[in-house]
Amino acid sequence: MRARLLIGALAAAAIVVAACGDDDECPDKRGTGNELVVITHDSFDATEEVIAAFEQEHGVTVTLVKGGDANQLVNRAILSARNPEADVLFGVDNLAYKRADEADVFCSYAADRRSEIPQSVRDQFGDSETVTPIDFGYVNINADRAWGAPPSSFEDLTSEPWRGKLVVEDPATSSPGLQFLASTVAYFGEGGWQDFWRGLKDNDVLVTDGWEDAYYTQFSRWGGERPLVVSYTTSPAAEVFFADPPVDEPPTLNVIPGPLFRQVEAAGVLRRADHPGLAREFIDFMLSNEFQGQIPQTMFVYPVIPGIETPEWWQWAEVDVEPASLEADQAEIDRWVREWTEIMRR
Amino acid sequence: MTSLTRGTGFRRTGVRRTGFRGQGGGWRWGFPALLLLTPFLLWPVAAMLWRGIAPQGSLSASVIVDVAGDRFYWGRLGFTTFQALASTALSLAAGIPAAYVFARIRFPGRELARALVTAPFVLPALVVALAFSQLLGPSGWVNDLLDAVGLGPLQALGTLWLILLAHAFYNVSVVIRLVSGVWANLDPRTEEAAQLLGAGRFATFTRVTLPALFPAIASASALVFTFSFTSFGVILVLGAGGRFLGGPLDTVEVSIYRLATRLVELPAASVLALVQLGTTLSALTLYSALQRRTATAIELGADRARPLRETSTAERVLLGAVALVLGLLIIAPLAALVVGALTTGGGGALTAANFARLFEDTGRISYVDPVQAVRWSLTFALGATLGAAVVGMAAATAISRTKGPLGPLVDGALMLPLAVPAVVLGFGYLTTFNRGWYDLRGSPWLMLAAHSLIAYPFVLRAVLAVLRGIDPRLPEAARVLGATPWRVWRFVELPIATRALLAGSVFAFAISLGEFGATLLLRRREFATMPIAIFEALGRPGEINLGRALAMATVLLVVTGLSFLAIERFRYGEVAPF
Repeated sequence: MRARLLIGALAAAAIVVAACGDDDECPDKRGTGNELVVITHDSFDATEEVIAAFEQEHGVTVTLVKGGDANQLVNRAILSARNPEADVLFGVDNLAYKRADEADVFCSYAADRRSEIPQSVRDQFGDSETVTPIDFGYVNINADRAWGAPPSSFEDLTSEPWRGKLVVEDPATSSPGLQFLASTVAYFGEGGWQDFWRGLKDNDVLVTDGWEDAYYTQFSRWGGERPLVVSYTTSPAAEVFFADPPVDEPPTLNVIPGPLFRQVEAAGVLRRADHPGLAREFIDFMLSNEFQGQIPQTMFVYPVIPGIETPEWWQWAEVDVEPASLEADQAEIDRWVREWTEIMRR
Repeated sequence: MTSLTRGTGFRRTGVRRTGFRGQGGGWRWGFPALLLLTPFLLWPVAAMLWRGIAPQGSLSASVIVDVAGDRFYWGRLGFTTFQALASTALSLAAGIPAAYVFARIRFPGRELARALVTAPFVLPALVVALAFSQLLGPSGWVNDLLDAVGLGPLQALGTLWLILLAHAFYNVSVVIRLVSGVWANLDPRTEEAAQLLGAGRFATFTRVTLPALFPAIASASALVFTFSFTSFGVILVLGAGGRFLGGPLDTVEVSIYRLATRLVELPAASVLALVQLGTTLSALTLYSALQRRTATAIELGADRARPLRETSTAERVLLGAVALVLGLLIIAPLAALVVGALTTGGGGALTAANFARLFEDTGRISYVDPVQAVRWSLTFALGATLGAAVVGMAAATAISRTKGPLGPLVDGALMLPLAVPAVVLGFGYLTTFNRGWYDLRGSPWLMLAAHSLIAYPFVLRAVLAVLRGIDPRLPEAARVLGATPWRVWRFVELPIATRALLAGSVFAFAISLGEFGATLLLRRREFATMPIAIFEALGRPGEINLGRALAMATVLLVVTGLSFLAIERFRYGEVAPF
């Protein structure tokens, strides 16, 4: 645990601005080599079957490297820009993207099915071809069903009945924490979110370092004493999928307190990769029906290609969310986190 | 060898020069440590810190001034020091009586108990947090019990007390192992002589036994202090939301992590990292000088150390008290964990379902085969223990032979692996080992090097405490009789230090089994260890995942316990007492 962080560490990113747009760094050769290295976020998962199918089709071995959350992944990519750790990076999201883009770590690639990805999703990355959206998700509030009627708005969270009931993750160290902060910035506006958080602090909100300790030690569903936790809209469905013995309905409820920031996870070919051709093939493969179809049951996020068939228990993840509109560059995000830290931790 | 230690009789402490420093040539013994430290610690850390404090290539004074002028960080430094001292005191208070019990009293299940108290060392902080919340959480065992007798709920999560308790949970075994190792081997005749000369029990303890134990107690204290000072996972998880004297329960290490992780504040993080390195280095240098000054020649006589004899009533009372304290401090949280693994998903009834589930291949790439995880954990742990034993033993020899003020400074510097912030080291590895033939990213050898690096300070501390207590006349006599320096080491110092070497190796082994920082950064699916399997399971919501994590943590505990028992057997079977 001392370590989740190791990686975290990475800061200097900002310092090393890698690269120029040299064509040699993104050669256009198709599928050569026999090993493809893919660096992913920690939550990446896939069926052995679908990965094996790619390996067979292209006669390669796929090596998977887990590299932290979206923020840490980008740090790693920037820090090793001159000698990338992998050919493909999957897991950069629309909050970490700006930093990666400024450091120019990706080669452009227009995937075969790119046009089938909804325009609004592609726009999260300014419709740039440097990355290809693969899946998306929402961070919301999960409520312990045993506690009765949950709150229904952001404002409810600062009211007396919900004093001492909510657990959130620190946006400085946690990806869902940052996404939840982004939702509140979008909802209350640049000048208003600070007061909302001061209200939460007065209402005895608990801040944890990461999702794991929020969910498994503080959330009342799992031994903690707080019935509200910042988690994903797909967590109740996961509770059904991973229940033992099987259950008919999840023990937790999705609370949609307002418009929510939509996190889109994307993949890109790393500049100076050893196998750029194979890397492009892999990105096309991630948009295939086979790969998209197993996304709900392995990563518990929504496939980016519309109309993909989903399992029955996925109904618990079907939510009616209005995506929050939010445009922010890296400096703004850094400022939110700094201000948030001032308000909540000092 | 034993004949040389006989017949030296009782002498007042402090009169005699101790340790064998007459030989020189100590620097040659420093090579193994340098070989490990230079590429795997000094280079990456220096590169990273320079980048932080000199973003434009030259030193930036404004960053240093900003951090130095911020009262918040002075508060963190104060809190960090305070909680480290308190944790050390608590560990000593629980550990020294227990060390006596393990050294001098025979009781059933002694070896098992010794293995159990060391087991916490291997648990990742997140798992310890789960164990403590099962025990002390709002619906934990303790509060259920309090509720049953009509007492109000105990609020433990997010308090300083829980952090101190968790630090003691981790560290009390360091005190027990290092101190009881020396205690068990003190020549009983020294104490008996003191009593014959009219010293009472109390005077015998304070003037004979305690001075002989002091180097071991100091060694243990230095380790516990450093460990608690740089505490990270425990603070993040168990200290969430807590306040103490108007500030959050953040150590300097936690502050560094918070600053570094979002890149923009790397300069401030680097300044704090230097503060942490400077503070721990000063504390350890001071301690090393103190330890050298106070070291007394120990009369060791294990072959005649009293056969664990009949216990007196007072000792039986002590045994009971120690059993109670260790039971509450260590056994109860471990039991909470195991019971959790046996009940989660079973509707309250005991079930082995979670263990069966470990073996069910989910058909996903996140699946970690438990047999493979155990195999890789043991492989890394054995390799790292070997590396740590060689480096730690050589480094201890080097320090014990270095004269003047340089010795303590070198000693302090050699403890740096415990003082370097994990984020700084991780960052350094990424930016350093990324080109050409030394592109070691993804290599199990880099993992092994990192584990050895973090493990050897334990061997160093354990061995140095003994080397400094060697009666200088032993090696001197060997020299006079014509032994070469190598033979002096091989036939005088090594045999005397063997037991300490093994005690240090137990910790090296445990450190590697539970190592999570470097492991997480350097992990690959192809060589996933037990802590990685736990981390994978805890990253997803749902009963089955929690069950898998708890079951894997139990497996980690059992493997650790069995390994310790095996090492103990080796210790008593193969190595003759000196």
